[in-house]
Amino acid sequence: MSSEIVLVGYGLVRVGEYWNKDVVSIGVEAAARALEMAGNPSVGGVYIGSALSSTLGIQGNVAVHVADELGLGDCVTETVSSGGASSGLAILNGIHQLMSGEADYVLVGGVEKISDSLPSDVMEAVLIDLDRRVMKYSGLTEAGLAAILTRLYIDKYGVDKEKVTALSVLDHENGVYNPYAMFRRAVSLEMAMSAPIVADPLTIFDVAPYGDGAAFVVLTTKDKAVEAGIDYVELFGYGVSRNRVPVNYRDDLLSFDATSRAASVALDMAGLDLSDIDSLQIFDSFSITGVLALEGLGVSPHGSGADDVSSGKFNKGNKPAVNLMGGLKARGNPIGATGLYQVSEAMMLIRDVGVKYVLVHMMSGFDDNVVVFVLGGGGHA
Amino acid sequence: MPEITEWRDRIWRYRLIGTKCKSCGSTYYPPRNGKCFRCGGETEEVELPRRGKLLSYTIVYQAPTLYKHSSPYIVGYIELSNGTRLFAMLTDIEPGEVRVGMELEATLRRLYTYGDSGHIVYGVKFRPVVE
Amino acid sequence: MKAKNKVGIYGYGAYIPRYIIENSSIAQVWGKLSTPIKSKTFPSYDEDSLTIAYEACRIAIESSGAPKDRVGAIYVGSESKPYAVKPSGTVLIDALGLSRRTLSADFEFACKAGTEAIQAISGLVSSGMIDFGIAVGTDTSQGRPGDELEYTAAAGGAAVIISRASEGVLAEIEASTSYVSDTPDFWRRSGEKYPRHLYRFTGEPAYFHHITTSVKMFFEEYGFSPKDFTYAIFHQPNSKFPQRVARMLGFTIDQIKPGLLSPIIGNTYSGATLVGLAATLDVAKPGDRILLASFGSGAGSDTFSFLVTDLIEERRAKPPLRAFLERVVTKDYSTYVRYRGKLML
Repeated sequence: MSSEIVLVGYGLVRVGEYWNKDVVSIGVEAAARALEMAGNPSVGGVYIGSALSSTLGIQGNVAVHVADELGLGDCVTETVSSGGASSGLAILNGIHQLMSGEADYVLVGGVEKISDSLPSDVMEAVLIDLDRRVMKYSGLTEAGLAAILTRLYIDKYGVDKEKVTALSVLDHENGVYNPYAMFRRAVSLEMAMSAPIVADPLTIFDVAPYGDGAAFVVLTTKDKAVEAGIDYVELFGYGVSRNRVPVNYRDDLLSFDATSRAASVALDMAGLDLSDIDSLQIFDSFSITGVLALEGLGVSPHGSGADDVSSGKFNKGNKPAVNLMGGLKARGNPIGATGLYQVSEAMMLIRDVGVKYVLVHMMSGFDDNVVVFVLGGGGHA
Repeated sequence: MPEITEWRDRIWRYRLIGTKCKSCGSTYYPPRNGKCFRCGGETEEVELPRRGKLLSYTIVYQAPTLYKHSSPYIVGYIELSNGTRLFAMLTDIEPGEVRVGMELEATLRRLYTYGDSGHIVYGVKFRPVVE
Repeated sequence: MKAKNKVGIYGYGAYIPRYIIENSSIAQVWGKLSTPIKSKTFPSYDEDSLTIAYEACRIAIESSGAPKDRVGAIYVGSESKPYAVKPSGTVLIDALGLSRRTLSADFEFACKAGTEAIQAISGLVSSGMIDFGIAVGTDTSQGRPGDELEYTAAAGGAAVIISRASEGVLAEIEASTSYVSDTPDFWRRSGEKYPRHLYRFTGEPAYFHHITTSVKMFFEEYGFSPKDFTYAIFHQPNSKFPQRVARMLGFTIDQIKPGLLSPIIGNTYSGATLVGLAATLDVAKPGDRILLASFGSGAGSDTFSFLVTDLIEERRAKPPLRAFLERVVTKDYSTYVRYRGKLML
């Protein structure tokens, strides 16, 4: 990167159901915390990822509303929508504005309000977001597609479904320590396997729960952070890539090629190898997508991801450790905001736990649009 | 007015019209405009074979609004006899009868009905071969 | 009526849904001790008279190899159209890939709308206005819960492709006769979900009077008698009526056997005689002569004579109707009311 980008503040609300607050309110709450941690700098841009605010009729142009309610002056405000990649693309927009020299600080966030809509309407909005023609006319849901992938994986590699679901159990084990997680309790594999079926063979424990959420970070350059005397975490690299859509055009549904490419670009930019990474924040919207992401990232060979998870290879204390803050299953999945939870959690891991390098992986759909960040280092003023 | 968007798709949705690359012969469904994504060749619309086999499937218990009265229903990942792969709902089949590898054929069924307008959307579904 | 230029059946196809309900399941709910038939078909939640027509037409076209671009008319006979206003034929044309330079309309004459369509298309073909035409009889008929009709009102349909005999037909249409009168035995007003009927009035003055008159007029006009026919199909609202009318007219049970499906599949209304014709053509041999007499409430009857040709062997419906009969599964009353949309949601 031409300028060194750093993160100097984060602010979150716990993922859940906010019956008394609208999407702008929770956004403002999280954004104000991030700005406060960053020392309330003057920002040149507000970029907010939100996958469904417009589709579900919650609020369009969220960034304008959040910026105005925060009392910010004139600045670029932009709302970004690309499913689970929304947050990542908002961050990229912020980086570009900083790198152009147009702004010294930018506020980037993700917001989503799920609880105001019927669950079946949310499902419909999500599948139209994925691929209207393919999903709507086949009756396929997002969970249904994950179920088909799970069955293909089980049949192709001869793996027990328990080993795929083991990722959800790992998430719950780690989520206990995340104050912003939707669910902070461990679950047994037996409980996860025998839970109600969403889309055969997936139970509710194979599906990351949607929730309301808002997460923000403040970005600046390393020079500015040092000049201002504030703590920072460094953003060493990023990569973006897309896979073929609709997914049935792909030769191999089980190969997350965009995840591979995005990670490789991000690691190259950071000048690091995969083996340097201490912790992975993977976008496990479903147990199977998490397993396929691990294989796409290259930490497990194809067909071994589920085995590796279930054998404890990615548990806390190992390198790399996966989803130390609970992943999507335990923290919850506020779709367009999820990526910023992942990034904020990476900041916590680096600042508070002393993890050196964290790779954050986020995507829309099933490897459709992927953004990967490599964070680490950091410093005190 | 989703009825209009869906009217535009009716021919390929009713008749399994896909795209075929004139150079490498790759076929896709649903059809798409432009060049072949595999080889960059020119493409044309073709009617795809109506028979195929089931590669994988799911039984959907939590359904989106338009399909909520149809659940539980089965969605298949199907390979047509010429190799085209697609997703489609299965019909005239009970959950216990589904087997990976089973032979299927296309038929026309109601997909869903719009509640307010009553507009009926028809499209291809697959059923076990009747012969 | 005789066509000036000989016409006939170029291809045919029939379809019934996979689901049946036994009369005993219905009787159990309403506390009835006797039932008119054994079982009846009902449509799956995603079927209607249009999707049934699609299957029948597709089988007819694919089995016969009829040229899609030369089909000049498609008339759909039904009393259970998916839309009160919006033709079923246009969806069929685009779904089947037929030429859009085509006549299309929905026909309604209670249970004889399909045979009415055959006559209309025969005229168009014979006159040379069109080369090929498709006549469809299809229904997903409804009986009010607890009503007598609930035991028999079933779903199914068939399509026949008509062309001039010179194109090569599997059966010539030798002649037909129609007889109608104002007889209010059964009706459904606009906007009403279920039809009404006048119980035993649907028998003697309606069904029996019209069919026997139509068939007798046909015999007189064209010099036929029951012994000239290998097979016969009569409209079949239940199992009793078609057998009784056959006896009244001098036909034997063997003659009506292949086409008598109502005991198992129920009354498929506009589909009934055409599904019976399809099942009969499935087993007919070259040289067989088939009589068909439909009945539509309100009321009227069309009588036809078909003479089967050598082409029957290569043009038989694939799959035949029995393939659909072999795949049926029996469902209970609760599934039936769910699929038929009888629950308030």
